[in-house]
Order: sequence, then C-alpha cells, then structure tokens
Amino acid sequence: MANEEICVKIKEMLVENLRIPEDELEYDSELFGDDIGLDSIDSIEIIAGIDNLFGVQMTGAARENFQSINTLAKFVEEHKE
Amino acid sequence: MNLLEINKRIKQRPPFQMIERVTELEPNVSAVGIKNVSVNEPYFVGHFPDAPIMPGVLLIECAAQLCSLVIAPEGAASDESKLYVLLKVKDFKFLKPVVPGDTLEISVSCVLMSEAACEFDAKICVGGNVRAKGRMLFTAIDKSSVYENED
Repeated sequence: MANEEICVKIKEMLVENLRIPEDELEYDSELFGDDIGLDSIDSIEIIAGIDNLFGVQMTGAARENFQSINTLAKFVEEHKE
Repeated sequence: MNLLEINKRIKQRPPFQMIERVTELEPNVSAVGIKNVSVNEPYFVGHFPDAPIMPGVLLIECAAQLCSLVIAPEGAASDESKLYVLLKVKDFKFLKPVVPGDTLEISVSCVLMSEAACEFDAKICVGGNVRAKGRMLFTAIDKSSVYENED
C-alpha cells in the first residue's frame, strides 16, 4: 500500500482534471484498462498533474507506474526529494 | 504587440490568423489579444449564408493562438523541431453568437505549466460581455512525429 496522503492528492487530481467519478475510482483501479479506460492524452495530464503536485517528473517512466493510483503514489514516494 | 511582431512569433497566416493585436502579455502567465471580425471572413460564405455566425471552433482557435504567444519563446517553444499542439478542449461554452462587426477581446491565463503540458483558462468577450469561455491543454511534440506514419 502506497502512502495514503499521496494517494489522496493523486485521486483528487484525477477526479478534478480527468473528470473520473470519485466513487468509481479506487486506489487499485486499473486506470488504462477496463476499469477506468484512460487514453494517451490522459497520461500526459497525469504527468503534468504529478509534476505540478509533487515536482516529480514521470516523462518516460515505465508503463507499469501508470497502472493505478497506488503505483503512481509509489513512484512519487520513491522519486520525491 | 502589433501584427508584425505577432507574425514573428506565430506561423498561422490569413485566412487562419486569429490574433491581430496583443494588448497585454506576461510570458508564461497571461495575455489579452484582439481580433476584429469582418463580414469578409471566408467562413461566413457558408456559416451561414443568411445569418453569418463565427464558428465556435474558430473562437477556440483564437484563444489557442493567443496561448501560443504566452508560452515563452525560450525552452521547447524556441526549438524549431518542436510544435505546440492543442491536446484537449475542456468545458467550452458559447454563450452568445459572434457576428460580423464584433471586436473580440480574448484573455488567456495559464493555470498549469509543466514540462509535459500546459493548461490555460480562456475567455472571449465583446464589449465586456462574455461570448465564450473554457479551458485548453497543450503539449510540445516533435514535428517529425506528425508525418511519421504517412506513406
């Protein structure tokens, strides 16, 4: 389980920026798969949102880091200064 | 910023040049620009023959061209191999038609600036009254990638 505080912030960003209904979004929901169905444009918004929130660059990060809020939060935790 | 100065910064040209004067500009932050809407604009021939109305997509283009002037010329914007493209248009509303004779006052302000993308709030007014507003997301891409799948 990734850092709860980071997960909360990422979830808020996804709900606000990508208009994902809050009640459909769990920390382990598959963002780009059948659960939520995000696309490549959404991934750019996620990268920009993470940079804006935490100052962490995800450009070029491996695809598996974008799987869920948990994996995004784990990446942030590992790369945050 | 007059038309000649604008031409140095953006590549669009008539009949697709949508900003004619810039009255305020703070790089990477915000800008205010002007466009005069003439009955001679080519799209009025068909949109619509008996009731000329400026198409909403062209109002978005006005705001997008102004945004491209806000993005500071250093960094990716100065790189000739890069091109800023519109990725997403969010929540655009067209409150009242824009017609020949209107002077558009276009205001854009940056709400997010990162390496991956930048996002702007836009408002288009005529005589102080809002005609359209919304948000736009841009990113820089390699020009070469635009045509890479073409035969």
